Order: sequence, then C-alpha cells, then structure tokens
Amino acid sequence: MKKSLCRVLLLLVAIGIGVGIAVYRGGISPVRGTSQAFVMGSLLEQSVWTKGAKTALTYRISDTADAIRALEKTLTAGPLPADDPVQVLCDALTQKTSGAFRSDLGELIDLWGIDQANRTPSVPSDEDIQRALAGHGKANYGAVGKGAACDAALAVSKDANLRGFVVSVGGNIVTFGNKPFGQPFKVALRDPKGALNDSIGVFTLKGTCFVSTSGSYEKYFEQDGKRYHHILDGRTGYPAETNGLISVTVLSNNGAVGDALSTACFLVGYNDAQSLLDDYDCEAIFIYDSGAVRATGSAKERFELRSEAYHWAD
Amino acid sequence: MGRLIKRGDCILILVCLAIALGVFVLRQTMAAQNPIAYLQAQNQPRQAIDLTNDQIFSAAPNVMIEVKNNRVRFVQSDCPDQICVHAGWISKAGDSVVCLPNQIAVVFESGEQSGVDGIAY
Ligand SMILES: [Zn+2]
Repeated sequence: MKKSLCRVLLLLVAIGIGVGIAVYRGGISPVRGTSQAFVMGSLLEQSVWTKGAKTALTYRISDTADAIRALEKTLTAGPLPADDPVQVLCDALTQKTSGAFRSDLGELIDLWGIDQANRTPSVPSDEDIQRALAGHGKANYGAVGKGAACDAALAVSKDANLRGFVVSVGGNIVTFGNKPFGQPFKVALRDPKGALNDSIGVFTLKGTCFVSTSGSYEKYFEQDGKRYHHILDGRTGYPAETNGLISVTVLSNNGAVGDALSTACFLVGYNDAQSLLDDYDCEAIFIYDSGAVRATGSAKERFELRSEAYHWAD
Repeated sequence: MGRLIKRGDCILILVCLAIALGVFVLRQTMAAQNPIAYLQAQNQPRQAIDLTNDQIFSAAPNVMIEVKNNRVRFVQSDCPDQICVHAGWISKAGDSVVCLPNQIAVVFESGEQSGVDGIAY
C-alpha cells in the first residue's frame, strides 16, 4: 500500500517537472510584449518584460504615447520658461559650445525645410540664412525633444510594475530594469553608412540607461552634388562642418541631457566634446566616415563593435 | 522488498519528460522560424501581416505594400523622401521600415531569437 503511494507521488513529481519545462519561457503567460505608435513625427516602439500575465494587463502603450504628446505640445507652443530644466540645459549648452548649439533656431530650421516631412528641402540663399540667423527668437527643441520624450516614457512606465522595458522614440532609447534572470539589455546601433536595418555593433546596458544619437546620415538632401545634413551650426547658419565625423552616440542617465549632448558633441567634434561629456557625467561613441570609431570613458566596454567596415581608433 | 520504482514507471517518467522537451523545442523553433510582422498605420491598432499569403495591399490611399516569399516591402508611396521604398525587402526578426510622412510602419517582431532588444539611431 505504502509503496504504491510512493510510486504515484513520484509519477506526479515527474509530470510536474515535465509540464514546468513545457510552459517555461513564456509558454503560458507572455514574458515580452512589443507595441508601436507614432509620436513627435517619429516611431515610438516599446518592448516590455512583465513579471507575469497580470502586470501585462496594467500596461498600455497609449499611456506613454499620451505623455509624450503632452510634452510635444509644450515644446512646440513656444519658448519654455527660463527656469524650465530643458531650457536651462539648452542655455548651458549654448554657452559651452560658444553658440553652436541653440534652442532658438526655429526660423532657420524652417528656412532649410529639413524638418518638414512633406516638403522637398533646398539650399536657401545666404541672405535669407543670415536674416533667419539674426532673427533669433522662434524656439525649436528638436535637439532635445526625443530625449525628453524618453524621460517622459520612463516616468510613465516605471509605475507599471514591469520587470523591465526598452522604449525607442525615433531611435532615442531608454532602458529600465532588466530581462528575466537579470539579463542585461542588448541595444543595437544602426550603421550610419549601411542599409536601414544594418547595425554597427551592440550596447550591453543594465538598469536605467539612455542612448541618443545625432548624425549627418539621419536626414539630409543633396543639391548640385553636395550633401546637406540637418544639424545646423548656430554660429554659421549652415549644416555643421564636422571633418569626417558622421555620428555621435551618447550614453547618459537623463534623456534630455543625452539627446542635447549628442547634438552638441556632433557640432563641436571629439576634442571639445570631452569636457562637455564630463560636465554631465556622460560617455559617447564617435563614428567617422573613414570607419574609425572612438569612445570616451567606459563606453568602449559597453559597446561591442561587430561590423567589419569599422575599427576602433584612439 | 520490491524496488521503489519499477521498470514501467521509469518508462512513463521518461515519456513525460520527452513530451515536455518536445513541446519546449517545438515552441522555440516555431518562434525562430516564423517571424511575425505587423503593420502599424497612424495610431490605429496594429495588424498582423500574413506572410504566407503573397499579396499587394494598400496601407494608406497612396502607400502600397507587397508580401512575397515571407518578405515585405513598400512598393509605392507618395512621400517625398521615398526612404520606405528605397529600403527594399525586409524579412528578419528586428527589421523594420517606416514611412514617417505617411505614418506607416512595417515591423518584424524582434523576439528573443534576434538577440537585440532595441535599435538606436
Ligand atoms: Zn515613405
């Protein structure tokens, strides 16, 4: 009698282990979910890792999208109050970059027509450029908007009781928490010279981290055989002359800071960027047209270069 | 005194474990072999794209999308930049093409098998 009871128990344990293995890794409850929406003229993508089926229900991408749209409304309504953290950040960077970075180039940006998705851009006359440049006044927070949107996304999703998430606002990334078993996040960096879905390498990120990139490859147009990118230098009114630098990716612990710094670093170049990055406790990866890749701080340890078209340089 | 576990029990336990392993492996390979693609149009709920059904459909009045041999591409779009059309065919987990002027995206779900959780650009 006793023996057969033992046998039944053993069998039950075996079946239990079997079923356990079968449903393990999201068989029954979804461990990971992704969703998309359009905000700020770009694609919002969100991947979440839930703690179980229950928390997935409390999470909605529309909450994130709504928070970002509210922010967008504020940023496009006109100049922010002088004591707004975003305005303080922009003004500090204007000073630190001797006017290369500005948040009041709205008129100039409109003139170049680079931001307008439904207009074919062209090179304006120098007279118009100088006039728009002198007209400082119309605010444009394009250089911080998506990063600030990542801050907003973090604020919303943090409360959703998720295990971890990765949010991309038009390629500006914020990570939070971790994946099952404490695994870090893997975030690929798009190849600035490759096809749309090529990547140059992969970041390994733990906990809360922001990744922001500014590059001349994102938006540009060609006229008379010359390429004009979209990052305008506030000192000249023309696209920044960068001596072969094609993109800067900043790792930061604040979205708006990382986004603004990626633009500022792109404008001033590697040598002058170092003190900027130090001021905000950030690190960056610089990519050149020649295929050279340079890193500051410990960014090199967090980035695995995978493309053979690129090489590390000092 | 007889043995606690008889030969028959052993076989039963092994069968249980084998079935469980089979289900697990099947799940993994099915996920790896069948990437899921979605169409996100403006802020409407996204729709799954049937990759097994070769077709050309319109995602917006002037945006045509083609599905062929488990790949997807923008065939035609009225956007000025034509970035979506120039992107060509996509088929791998994690791939995506976005037409920002028309707010249309085709996204291949970047499941665990793609090894990447996001793409910075
Ligand atoms: Zn398009």
